[in-house]
Amino acid sequence: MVASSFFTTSVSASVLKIETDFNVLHVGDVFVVEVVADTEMRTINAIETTIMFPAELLSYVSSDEGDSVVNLWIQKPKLNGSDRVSFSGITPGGFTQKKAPILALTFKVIKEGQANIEILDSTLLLNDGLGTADSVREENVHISVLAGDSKIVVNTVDEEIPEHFNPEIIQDPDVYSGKYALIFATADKGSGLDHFEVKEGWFGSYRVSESPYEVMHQALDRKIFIKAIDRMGNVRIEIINPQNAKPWYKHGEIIATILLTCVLVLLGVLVLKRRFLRR
Amino acid sequence: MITFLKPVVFLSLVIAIFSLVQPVDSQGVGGGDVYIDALVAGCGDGQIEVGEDCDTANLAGQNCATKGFSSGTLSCTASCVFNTSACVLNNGGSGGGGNRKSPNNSATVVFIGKAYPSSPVTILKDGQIIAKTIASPLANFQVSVSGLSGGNYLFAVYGEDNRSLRSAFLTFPIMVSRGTLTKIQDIFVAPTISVDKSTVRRGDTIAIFGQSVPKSTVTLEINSPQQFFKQTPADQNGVYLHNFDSAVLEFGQHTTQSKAATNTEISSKSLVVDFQVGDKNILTPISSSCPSKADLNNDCKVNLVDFSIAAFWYQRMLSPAFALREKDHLNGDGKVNLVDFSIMAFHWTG
Repeated sequence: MVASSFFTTSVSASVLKIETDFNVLHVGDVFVVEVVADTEMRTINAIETTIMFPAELLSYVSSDEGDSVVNLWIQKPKLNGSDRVSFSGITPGGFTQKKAPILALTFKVIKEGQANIEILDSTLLLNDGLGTADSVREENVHISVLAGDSKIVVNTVDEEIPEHFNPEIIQDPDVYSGKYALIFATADKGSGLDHFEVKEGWFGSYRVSESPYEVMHQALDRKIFIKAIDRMGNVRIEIINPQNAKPWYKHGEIIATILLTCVLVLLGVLVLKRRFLRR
Repeated sequence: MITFLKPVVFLSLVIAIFSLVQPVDSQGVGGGDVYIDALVAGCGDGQIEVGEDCDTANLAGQNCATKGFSSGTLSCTASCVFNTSACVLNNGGSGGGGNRKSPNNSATVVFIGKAYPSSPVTILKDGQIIAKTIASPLANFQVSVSGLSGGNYLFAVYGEDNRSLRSAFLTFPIMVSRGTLTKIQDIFVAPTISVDKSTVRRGDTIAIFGQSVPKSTVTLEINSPQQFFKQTPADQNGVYLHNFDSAVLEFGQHTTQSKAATNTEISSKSLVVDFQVGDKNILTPISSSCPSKADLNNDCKVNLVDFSIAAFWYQRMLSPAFALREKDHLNGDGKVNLVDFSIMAFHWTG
């Protein structure tokens, strides 16, 4: 039997494009552009690109990757200089879609003119186990910005907390020289995940952190709190219980707190007693 | 003095007790945790075992009302999961189709399909494993994932055959709305595929084999400058084997992949397997069930741990030790970049 149309192969390029509902805006408008991919029936599993915008006309407000087909970000979208947003990430198993959402970017118009939002240096890799680069065609967007009253305002409503996740302690000889490290990842389908914060122990303080995170208390004797915060400030906290928990009386900070409290109470009692005796 | 110490001791005890109070494992407002109903072996014996919602007519005392519906008839699927399709809500829900109101405000997605007989099926949500189940002896499976927020999800399904070989991923980009139930039916996991020789002497036969749905028809594609298609039946265990005569192939590199079909459904395409046509036979090494690439910590999985290890070295100069691992497990170019992560995404197991 010779070839039939049962198995077909496409030879065209994937398309990475910027889309928006507006082609005319006014100074003061806040609007969203979406970066989407048309994979032309091929399966793509990795993307890396930069979006450039005229910083003299548009002010970057935020990015929202809550609905993205990119599941794991190597570089989360972030402002790179004053006029470009760069990002890279992967989709395990890949995606094959006509209009795959990659990212939504929000801008505010600050000056009238011709605003061209363009894709630079994009790389899309095929899900073929080799990381073969697909040919990419880019479609940019051109917006006329006029003087006048602003009419467009984007209101993001998101009351849901980020999704449940399972942080994990790992130990690898090539990560932080074999010290214990904490890994975590989650998503927020509403406004998108903003950042993580990690706290070690009840009396620690939350610090903005990225995965993999080097655990400070390598004895693993404290609870670790991992806070995921979305762009609207909704918070989910996951907790890892200590692998080598110590009884409370062996925790220096608890003993110190108790002693300090005792001293304060004693002082208070003594002061009260002295006042009472004076009367 | 003892009188003065009493409040101190009391206060200390209060603080100590407060310090010992254990928090819940997950905190937050609005829920969003995901609950899984998955199949287990032993389904169909009328006894409700671990992992089963129900078993045949044994509904564990549940009915439509206890499941949050107004009325109707609750039943049990062949996969021992509650079937609420005949339950009714009187709150203006739609009258049919793929989506309808769910009893609570979260979304539910049900996956129904075919994989390999009595073999594991894994469901991933945005790259993370969310459910595992065992297909029935006829290769059917059903998994219900609930507690989802509204939004776009990329679900993926893969199966593992009787040799623990994984299928290609089957991905489903889905927009789910809060309070709806979405059914993804007719999932047909691609066959697994292997060859007995990495190099076949031209004119000898090369065995192409794997597993799919019992009694299905498997179509093999052999890619060379000219493509060849062969059909072979899968037996009652879903196993297929075709001895392909390499005489029609040119010397050099070739690939093969397969698809399966039943009377009503066609699977997606399998992974691609390479082989060489040469002047001597070289048997394919016994393949490990572990991923051949990207498993940086050698735990037979490619998941967030491997991603995190690679992410640690992203755009950094590699240490000599990690350079060796990069060579063995990634593309061996002495750096960690997007190509390495693409290789990882391909071999992902979750």
